[in-house]
Amino acid sequence: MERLIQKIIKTYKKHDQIDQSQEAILEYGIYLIFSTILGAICTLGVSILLGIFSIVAMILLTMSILRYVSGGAHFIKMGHCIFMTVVITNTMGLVVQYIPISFGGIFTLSLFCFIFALRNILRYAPADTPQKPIDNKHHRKKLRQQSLVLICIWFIGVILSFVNDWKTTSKVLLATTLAIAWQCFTLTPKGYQFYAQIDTFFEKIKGKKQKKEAL
Amino acid sequence: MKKIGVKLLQLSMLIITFFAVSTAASASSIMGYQPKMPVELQKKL
Repeated sequence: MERLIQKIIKTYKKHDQIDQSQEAILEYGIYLIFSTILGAICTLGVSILLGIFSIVAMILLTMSILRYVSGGAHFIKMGHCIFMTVVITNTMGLVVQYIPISFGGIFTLSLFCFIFALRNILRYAPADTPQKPIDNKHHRKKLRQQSLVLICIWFIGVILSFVNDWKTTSKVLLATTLAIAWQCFTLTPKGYQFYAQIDTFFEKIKGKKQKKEAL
Repeated sequence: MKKIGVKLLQLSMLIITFFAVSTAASASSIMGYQPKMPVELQKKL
């Protein structure tokens, strides 16, 4: 991946004059675009195979939008992130598709999820990482407010669906509920711990593989 | 033809820069992977 990115930057350098700061920004942007596109292709590809494309697309979109403003835990490697996104979103998709929950049950779940989300956003959002710290107080306040607005808009939608008895939206409601619940879990210290444990687990597997290859 | 190629390259640079700057202004990247934000971008914010 590193080599490919360097090749792309070399191509830019050949045809255009770019200074060191522009190069650093480009490298950062290419990393972000690659991880986003690769993650989306792998996740949606698996969802097509499982026949749950629209549900998984909804989950992915909800998680991404909320993550953009609320932050959350991150993996240390792109591969870990892509693998876990595929597993988590598709598992949620399968739950939405195959586990029958009544419309009232979904509303109750959404209500609990709303309370859980409010608590976590007020306490932890925006949850930053050492790779991208958010130090500015004003910026932090703005991002927290945006997260709260998003959650409130979502819950107004849930209430409207329930009051008008729009049963056709039940899968959408359950998918977004699960996505928001997971995203809000990643804001908490336990969420960070979970991501770190997954990272350690993958690194251990890699270490064992490398040892075997060396032998 | 070559001119169009260069223009496309510049356009892609613009899109990548926009993506980088907008992510820098947000809380985090939209996927579960967050590369280290360059100092140059931190200064610009």
